[in-house]
Amino acid sequence: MKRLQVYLPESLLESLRLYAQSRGIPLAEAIRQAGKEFSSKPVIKKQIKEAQLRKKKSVKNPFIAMAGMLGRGPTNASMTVDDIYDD
Amino acid sequence: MTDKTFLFVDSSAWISLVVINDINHQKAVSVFSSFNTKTKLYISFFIINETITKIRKIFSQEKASELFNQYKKLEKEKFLTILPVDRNIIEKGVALLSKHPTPNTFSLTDATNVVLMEKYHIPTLFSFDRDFKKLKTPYLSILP
Repeated sequence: MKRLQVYLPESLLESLRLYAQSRGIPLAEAIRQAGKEFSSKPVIKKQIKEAQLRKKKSVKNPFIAMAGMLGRGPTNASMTVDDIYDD
Repeated sequence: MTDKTFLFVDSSAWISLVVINDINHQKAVSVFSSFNTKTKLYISFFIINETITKIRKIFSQEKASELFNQYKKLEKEKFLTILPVDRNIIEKGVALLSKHPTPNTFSLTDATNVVLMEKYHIPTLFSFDRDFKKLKTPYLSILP
């Protein structure tokens, strides 16, 4: 395990603290469980997998890591760059 | 044969690379994938302006900053050279525009791309902007 220092909103910290108390576990364990549950969600898992793949490929070619990095947008985005001069 | 060692990368190529469902995304990925450690890519301050403004417009400032940070990272790791656009480049760009009144969609940024490529002896332009093909500049080869 690695040590990590993070800032949490007070309300979130309080919720996690209450959960930990109710389960009789340390706060750190409650945070680990929350992190595990979050990262096991299909949408998040997919994002992590894509990021891992990009990281692997980017070692050889950093531009591959940029492929689709901003997600879905207008399909004609590359053909309408000059639209920025409109309005 | 198109020289793939020194390339100027236009805004349209960057946009198609980072937007996953862009019409030219697959072509862009294919071209970017063909680069190797010998490939030297160039952009200009104007390209940063265009791409960041476009991404901010179609997505958000957060994503625009993400792209900007990526440019800086590529530059730091020596994969990308960001060329300055000074007064002299702009003067030459406007002169080029004057020589080519059509197509009127050919922008000052497009013109400065050509001027910078000539100045820094960059033979190839990577762009999906059809206006460059209409320009018929002899020393310019266009990818894809």
